[in-house]
Amino acid sequence: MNEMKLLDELGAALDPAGPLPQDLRRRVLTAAVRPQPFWRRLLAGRAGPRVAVVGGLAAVLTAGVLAAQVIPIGGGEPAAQAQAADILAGAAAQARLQPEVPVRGDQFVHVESVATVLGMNEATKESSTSTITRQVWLSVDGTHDGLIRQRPRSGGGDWTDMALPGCRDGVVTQTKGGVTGTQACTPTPAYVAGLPTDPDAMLAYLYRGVDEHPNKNPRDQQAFSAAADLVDEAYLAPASLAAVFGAVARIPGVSVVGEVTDEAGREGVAVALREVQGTRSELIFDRGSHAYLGTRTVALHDGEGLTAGQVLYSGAVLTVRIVDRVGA
Amino acid sequence: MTATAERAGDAAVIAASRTDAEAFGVIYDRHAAGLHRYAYRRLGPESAEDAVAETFLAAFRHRGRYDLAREDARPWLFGILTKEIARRWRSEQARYRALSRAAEGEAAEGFADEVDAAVSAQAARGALADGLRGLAARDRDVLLLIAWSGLSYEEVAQTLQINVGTVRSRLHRARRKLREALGEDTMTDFFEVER
Repeated sequence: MNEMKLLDELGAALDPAGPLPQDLRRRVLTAAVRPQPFWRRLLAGRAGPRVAVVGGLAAVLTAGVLAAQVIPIGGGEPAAQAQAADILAGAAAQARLQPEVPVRGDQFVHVESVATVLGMNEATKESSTSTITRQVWLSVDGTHDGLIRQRPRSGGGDWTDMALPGCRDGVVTQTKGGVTGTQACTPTPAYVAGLPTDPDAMLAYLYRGVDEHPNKNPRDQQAFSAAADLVDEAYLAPASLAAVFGAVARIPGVSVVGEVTDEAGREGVAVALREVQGTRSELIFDRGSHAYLGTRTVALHDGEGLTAGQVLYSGAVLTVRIVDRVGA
Repeated sequence: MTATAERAGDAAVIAASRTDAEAFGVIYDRHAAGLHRYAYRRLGPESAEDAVAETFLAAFRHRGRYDLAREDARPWLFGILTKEIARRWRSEQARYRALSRAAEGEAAEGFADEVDAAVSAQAARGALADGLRGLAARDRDVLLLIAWSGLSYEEVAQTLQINVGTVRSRLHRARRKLREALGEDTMTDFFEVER
């Protein structure tokens, strides 16, 4: 039989069974016509309740480019992994020194932080930086109205407030552009009591969360993200916070990448995991005490309008408190 | 999006989309199915969807550079898609390997009963998949664009930015290798008139 005829038949046999995937048009045209910050795409794969808060941040931020300031620490992979374990053990020890604060459901976790975010126009591949000071009040039990308040760090701009409506009796009331609507919801507690206090149990907890909400990212990457989400802009009981750092040390592929200056200008050291998106997700700890400072996401390769070493997101936590009222 | 865009040729729509981004939706609606079918054949479901999405995003980004003298955007779009497929060569190779294995399995089962026409067609399909897998990428691009995209020789030349003579010579070589893979006498080709 003629090979071109065979190819015809093969082609017909390989054709898609149905019409075009329905969401493809939206996927293409939304990205093309309505540019989205690059980092929002990065974060889209992250699990956990923190995404909702980050999504709120995205609405206000435009963008951010920093020169990466990683100074590599000598030694190969195994050495870097051993060093990571040391730093994380130090971080756990620091966490255990924190006071255990009693937390009530009607209170708020109040976090002050500074961040720089890289935004990118998908159409033009132009990137821009946004540096902000940020305060959040997150409802402990998820049923009270919280708040995100932020302003540009330079130029003395005004604070911009974003409501984080609580989920009460399974309903959340949201107002967007003057339109108020209600949606079914389940509360997202800012503080969860009874998290594991043992590193192995915490590790199992992280991976269990990953397996309950699987996505295309590698499991270890998702577990690392889940750990970062757990400690970022959050209050954890000291023993649980220590357990998170102990668990991170057990995630395969976690290693020290080098010395960094955190978003608040503090001298830190970064423990990181390479992500399949071509980025590196970092947890930053104080260089001396190994206390947790914040997180960064760094591009590893040139391309998509990015250069290797470019920082996509950098956030530093300044204070974490439990307060009775929003705005307090 | 303006009503005129709906009726205009690709070039006019692309020109309009430079000031009215929404107009680009018309280009998607016209060509997405054809591009997707082609990508799907070569890459399978998931990679095809990604490749098509990336193709349209790249096309949208570069719409300012589109040669408005070209009424039909397909060669341009298939050109971008070809590069996106090249980036996903692992998916393509895996697809041919899977086809080859599936054909082997069925052929072996068939032998237990009786060798019949269906079985030999299956076996041929496996050999064809092996043949496709063994082709040089540039030969495979030409062959599959000719066989599966519905583009003419001239349009394939535009798509790959090569001249028509090169399209013919690559196609010739690709077909010869496929016949070898199918175990047919390559000499028959000797007398075939070049198109």
